[in-house]
Amino acid sequence: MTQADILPRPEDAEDLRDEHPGLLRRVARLPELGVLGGLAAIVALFMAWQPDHFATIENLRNLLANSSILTVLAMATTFVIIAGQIDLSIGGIIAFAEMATALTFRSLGGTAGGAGALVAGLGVALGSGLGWGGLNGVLVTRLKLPPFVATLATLGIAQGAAYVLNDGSDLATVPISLNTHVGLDNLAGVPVLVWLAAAITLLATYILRRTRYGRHTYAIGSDAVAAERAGIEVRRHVVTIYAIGGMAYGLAAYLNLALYSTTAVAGHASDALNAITAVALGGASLFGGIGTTLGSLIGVFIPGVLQNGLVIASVQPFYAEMGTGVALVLALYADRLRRSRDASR
Amino acid sequence: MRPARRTMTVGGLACAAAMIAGCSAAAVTHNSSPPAAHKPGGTSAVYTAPQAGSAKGKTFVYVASANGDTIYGAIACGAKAEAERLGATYKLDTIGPTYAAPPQISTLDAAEATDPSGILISPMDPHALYTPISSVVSSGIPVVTVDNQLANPDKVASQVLVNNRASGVLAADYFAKRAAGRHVEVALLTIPLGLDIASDDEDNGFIDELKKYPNITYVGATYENVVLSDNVAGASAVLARYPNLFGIFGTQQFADDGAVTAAAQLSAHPLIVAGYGGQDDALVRDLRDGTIAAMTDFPLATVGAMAIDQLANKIEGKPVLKEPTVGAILRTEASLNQPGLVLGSKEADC
Repeated sequence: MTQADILPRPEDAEDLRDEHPGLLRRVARLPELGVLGGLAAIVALFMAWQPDHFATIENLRNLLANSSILTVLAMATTFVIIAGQIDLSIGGIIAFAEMATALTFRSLGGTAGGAGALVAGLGVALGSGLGWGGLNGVLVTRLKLPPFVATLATLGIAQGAAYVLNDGSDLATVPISLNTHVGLDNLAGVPVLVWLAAAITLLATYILRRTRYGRHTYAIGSDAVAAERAGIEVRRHVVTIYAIGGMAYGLAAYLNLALYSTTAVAGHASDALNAITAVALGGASLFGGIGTTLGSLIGVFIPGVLQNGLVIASVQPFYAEMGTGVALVLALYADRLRRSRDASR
Repeated sequence: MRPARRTMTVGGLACAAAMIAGCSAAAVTHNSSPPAAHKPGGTSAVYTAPQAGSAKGKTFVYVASANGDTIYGAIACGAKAEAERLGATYKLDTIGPTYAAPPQISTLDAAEATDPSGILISPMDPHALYTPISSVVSSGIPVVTVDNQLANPDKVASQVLVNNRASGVLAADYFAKRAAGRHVEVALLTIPLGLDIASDDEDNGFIDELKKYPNITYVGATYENVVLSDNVAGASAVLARYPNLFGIFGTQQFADDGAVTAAAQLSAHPLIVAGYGGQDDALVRDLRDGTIAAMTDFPLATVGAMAIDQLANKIEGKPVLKEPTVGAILRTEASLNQPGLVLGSKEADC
């Protein structure tokens, strides 16, 4: 057992200060409470404003389905942010993985492609994401490039490579079966995409909260030098975070194809910002060491609910961007207050 | 932008809505055949296309948009075919992956350095390209703008346009025809006003034409962008707000894709009319399988050919049309079987 294995988890560190908190106090200490309250307030507002159209099962199902792919991105980004890293290359990786996958589909029957095409496409999507993510990790840990610059570079390279693959044109060669059975189908009344996003969320939550890998992620984000001294293979760990993150972005690319039946090479410029915004809204610290998957999940829904509710209320969706921006400022300010408070202890 | 949805100041729309009958567009006459009579939706002006082989030894360069954009690719194919018919050498210069003025200015400068006989260009910005184009013209190389145009066209020999307003008019008329007098609601998915004059014109054509039909309630516009997930979310919300929505007119490719996905998610069946969709494989597929009801389109190969003809006539000192405008076409699933019709990315494959 290394020293790192006996490092307290962040939530346990809170517990050490007060070994017998009551249930209410524990709930009150939940880092996600603030953002959850914000989301609840927004939902309550739209339920009161547009009761006939907003608060319906169909609309809830749509909200969940339309947030599912961003949820996958946010889960991967949660690990990246907690580890004190940043990944701006998400959009480029997705664009590349989409194009590589669509080309694979085209060579295996196009829209008439069968199970073999679906499996091969998934492999290409995950593999290309893994490759780009691994490259990010190597650039950051071996070449010691700042993550911001390294991933900005791979964003451009991957985006450009996506254009090169098909000379800049989008492809609509997605098998109909993928669109039908994954993109648009329901399982027990819930979209398949939502089930998949839920599974990814649960897996990410388990890894982050219950495994050594998760604890090492927190430790590295809190203090990489201390983590190194505690015996954690920091560089290797960071590489795996980027690589697994890339694979998740590849999965998101596959799900995009399933849902939209076409690539959208030019349409991913804001993917990284959306994912990082969701994670930051969820209470993660962009300085590393703090964050939860539950918080990120809630952070995903704030912009989604705002956009949905405002359009239903016949208000243009760019007001949602303003609202999301304000929420982001509040979340970052709360993080700054938290760090100031911790530093003064 | 769709993806290259143009920044365009639409002028020369003498044709106007009253002339739009819902089909066909400008035609180009070749050789010494009679002058082209431009059909409804396009300009009523006429011109004579140069004779075959009349531009032998000349070199024409088309400074287009981002490589891979099938809209500009289709224009380029028309230009190439016409240049070859005239015996000229043709070259296409694209500007990389972005729809921005700076790389296009660099590309234009590089094209000028090769000393071509004439240049076609689809300006990415109606203002920023004015000075660079003026510089090219002052060096003795005639320039014709195609599809996009300059805010001040005083230096260019001609600006060949498409009638974006007609696209909106056709969509409105299509909904009216399908409604057959029933009281229905229709929505518009577009981009914010002022971002793209071409899109604004399409919107206005749609909204103004709907006023002719008291049985159709226009429920308003929802603004979209190039991010598919945003557009699906936006269209979903519109469908949640108006569960009995009869029709959606989407002026952008991504808006149309968003509407298609949202309708499928909700098992809703609004009539979706895609604006300017003929060069997009996904929309053509959706039209074939009935996912969208109709699309408006332009014969972009004709646009490219017309632009080459104006350039050739300018060089030969023959009359040139200052603002020839090509009309819109409404395509439905039934019209896709027209012999020789090439749509989607194949239209840009030459």
